[in-house]
Formats: sequence, C-alpha cells, structure tokens
Amino acid sequence: MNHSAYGPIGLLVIQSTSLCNLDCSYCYLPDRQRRNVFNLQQQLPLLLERIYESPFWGPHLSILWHAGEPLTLPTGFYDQASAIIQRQTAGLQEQGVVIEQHVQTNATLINDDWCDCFQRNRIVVGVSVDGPEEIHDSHRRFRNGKGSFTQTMRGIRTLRERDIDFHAIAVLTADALEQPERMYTFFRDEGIHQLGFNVEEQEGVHTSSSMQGLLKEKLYRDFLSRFWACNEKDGFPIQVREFDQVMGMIAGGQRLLQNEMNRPYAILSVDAKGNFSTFDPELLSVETERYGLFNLGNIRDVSLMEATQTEAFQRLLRDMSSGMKRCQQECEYYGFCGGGTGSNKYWEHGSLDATETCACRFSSQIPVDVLLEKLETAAAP
Amino acid sequence: MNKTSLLTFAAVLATSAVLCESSRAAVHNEPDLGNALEQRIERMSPEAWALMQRNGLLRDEVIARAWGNGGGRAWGNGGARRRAWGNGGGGFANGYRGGFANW
Repeated sequence: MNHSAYGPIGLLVIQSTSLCNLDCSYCYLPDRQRRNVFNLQQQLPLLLERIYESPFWGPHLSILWHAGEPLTLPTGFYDQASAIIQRQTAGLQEQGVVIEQHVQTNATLINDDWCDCFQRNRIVVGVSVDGPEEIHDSHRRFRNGKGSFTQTMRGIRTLRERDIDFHAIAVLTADALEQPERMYTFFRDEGIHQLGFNVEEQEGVHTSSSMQGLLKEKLYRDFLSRFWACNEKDGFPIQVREFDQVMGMIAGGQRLLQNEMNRPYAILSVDAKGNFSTFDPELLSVETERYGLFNLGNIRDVSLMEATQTEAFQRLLRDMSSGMKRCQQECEYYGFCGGGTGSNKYWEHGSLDATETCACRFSSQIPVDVLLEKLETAAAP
Repeated sequence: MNKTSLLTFAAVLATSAVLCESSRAAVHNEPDLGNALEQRIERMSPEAWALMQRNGLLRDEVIARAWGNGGGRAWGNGGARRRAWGNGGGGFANGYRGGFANW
C-alpha cells in the first residue's frame, strides 16, 4: 500500500449530535430530528486511538464538531471532550502535534456560558448566517416555522461582545443573488470579516436547488463581481473565502493535483454512532443505490487501515480516481479545484466517476473567472 | 497511545513528516503554463499584484487559520464546506474545500 496516496488526516468531523434545533429548507441531513449523541467516554478515546495507531495521522488535526447543531448539547459535553483529547494526546502534543477544536453552529444558542466554553476549551467558532432578515428567514427556520434570524444575530453579537473571533458561512439561494450590495452591507455592518459563500446544492434529501440553471450562474457571477466592488471600495474589510483561496494559490504559485475531499483520509468523518467515512463529510451515513452506504465501518469494529482493504472502499477509490483523472484531462480549472467533490458528483451524476458539476462551476470556475477579471482590470492607485 | 515511548514518538513524528511531505508533493503542482487560464495569470499586470498586496489579500497564514475547520465548505448547504489545500501554503493541514453543503 502506498501511504503517500492517503492522508494525512487534517480534519476530523465528529457528529456530536445528529439533532438540530432548526429545520432549514435546504438541509440534506436525514436524521436532524433525532437526538443521537456521540458517546464521549466510550467512543472518543477509541476514535483517537484509531487515528494515532494508523499511518494516516498528521502534524495538525482540526476536530470539527458538526453535522447537527453541536450547541444543542450542554457545554459540559465539550469540557469533557477537551479533557479526553488532552489526556489521550498530551504526549503527542508535547512533541509538536497540533490538535484544535472547532464548531460550526447556527449561533441561535450562543450565550455567555457558551462563550466561556469556547474560550476555556479554545474552540474556534464558525457560524451559519445567510444575510439580512428576510433572506435568512426564508430558509433558516425553527420547526414551528418561525425564522431564526433574531436568535442567530443575538448569538453573533454575543460573540462580538466577548471578542471571540469567528467566521461566517452564508448559503446563497436565489433570493440573495439580486441583492449583492445589501448582502455586503449586512456582513460589513455586523462585523463579519471572514465570509464564505456556499451556493445551495442539490444533495441527499434536498433533491433540487434554487440555484440550478445558466441564468443562476450568470447571476452568481454578477453577485460576486458586485460584492467585490463594494468590498474594494471600503478597503476590503471582508475576507471572502472564494477569492482568498484562489489568490493564495496564485501568490504561492501552487496548483492542486487533488483536494482533500477526493483524497482518502485527508478528512475523517464520524457520526454519532461511531460509523466513519472519508472523502467529503457529506457522504457520511448516506445510503445510495449505486454504492450502498458510504460508511467504511464503525470505529468499534474496524481500524482505519483495515477499512481501506474492503471492496467497498476500493470501489469508491477507483471511481473517485477515475473521475479526477477525467477532470484533469478536460478542465482548465483543475489546478484551482483539484478534481471536484464526490458528493456533488454523486448527487448530480449518480457516480463518483464523473466530471464537471454545477457545484464545480459555483465553487471554483465562477470565483476564478470573477477574480481574474477584477485583477486584469486593476488600476494603479 | 499512552504506552508509546519518547523514542517511538520521535520515530512516528519523523515518519509523519515524511508522509506529509510526500502527501504535499502528491497534492500540489506547478501551474501548467499551456493552460489558457494560467496564461492570463502570467500576463497579470504589476497593478493586479499591487491590488492584492495593497489590500492585504495575500495572507496565507490568515487564510489557513481562518478556515481551519474545513474552510466552512466540507458540507455544502450551510455546513463548513471548502477548506484548505488550495490556499497556497500554510494550509495543507487545515484546509481548502473541506466542509458542509447547505448549512
């Protein structure tokens, strides 16, 4: 086995709970109404052991609590998790291995107690907020149908009052596309300085997207262009992830041969029951006609190494690699993308052995195009 | 893990470093100058570079840290999707295009 073709594991996604207190219209998680909880005492030590007994671990591990609303659990859950992580990996950390924790949250439950928890456990925070109230509330609602904007903004303002850095993810749906100036002003005025746009995708139980079609692609191109113009006028107070990533690659003179969502064991995702998968986390616990479950096993029963020897894994890898090779041959954006993501290929084409997706155009091609246009027309001050 | 000796730690760290270097080589590449997009980048004016520099947009470390959780993309709709590798250095361990879709 050629270990250099796998890992190192840089991102460990753990579903602390499957439950979410919201019921967003575009969510693809099938179990979000169930309260499956990751068993810290039994599963976390075992999971860490699975990682560090394997040849796939690396010098920097980000543990991300997500795939449900992680803050529906008590703060004590993360205190306990931090203690276990520290106990299990103290030796490694003393030797220079970096292990950090993150949460991605809808922010509706953030209060001073949570801020204390983030600070004492050094948890890095990402929040999900889609923009001004009616844009946000058109999709991000509680189960009773009420919008979550007020509670989300209260949480964000609490973070700001406590000087806790955070980044924001906005799911872009058709509603937001025609209002780039308003979207920009909202994020700027709310003190959100690191922002990523996730264009609504067709995924899992969310079988259609408001962003499909050439017209939407044109609108998105225009949206990014106008958002850039607003940002530029103010001296770029907002880091937009889509542009930063491309500029980082341009500046560093580096392009991608693959990405961490199509490279095995760059990401390890574990659900609340201990089932694990690799490639992109959206494949976790998803069952499909073509591949069955994308899960490779349960940490209780199978080591990470053993999982690579199963026919199920080898089939995923073959299809993923074949799709990437074809992307590399066909797409001039390959160096900025690294071969796309399996979940999008599957949901749009029914196979991992596929090439361009709508998601490719939104996440790679259009941002690259817009950025190059901006740079090409740049004038000296 | 707790039973691992210091010497073993040193050995595994060295192994890990080798693995990471070979992995880095496996995922990163030089720009392909035969590609039309790359030719556009090659032709970029000093003003374009100045624009990025002037506004602090070439901040590898900041980018890597800010998106350490998977870049906020690994899960599309609302999750943390898209993370680190593409960020031109500093981000190998903590990502480009990780993430979560509709969150």
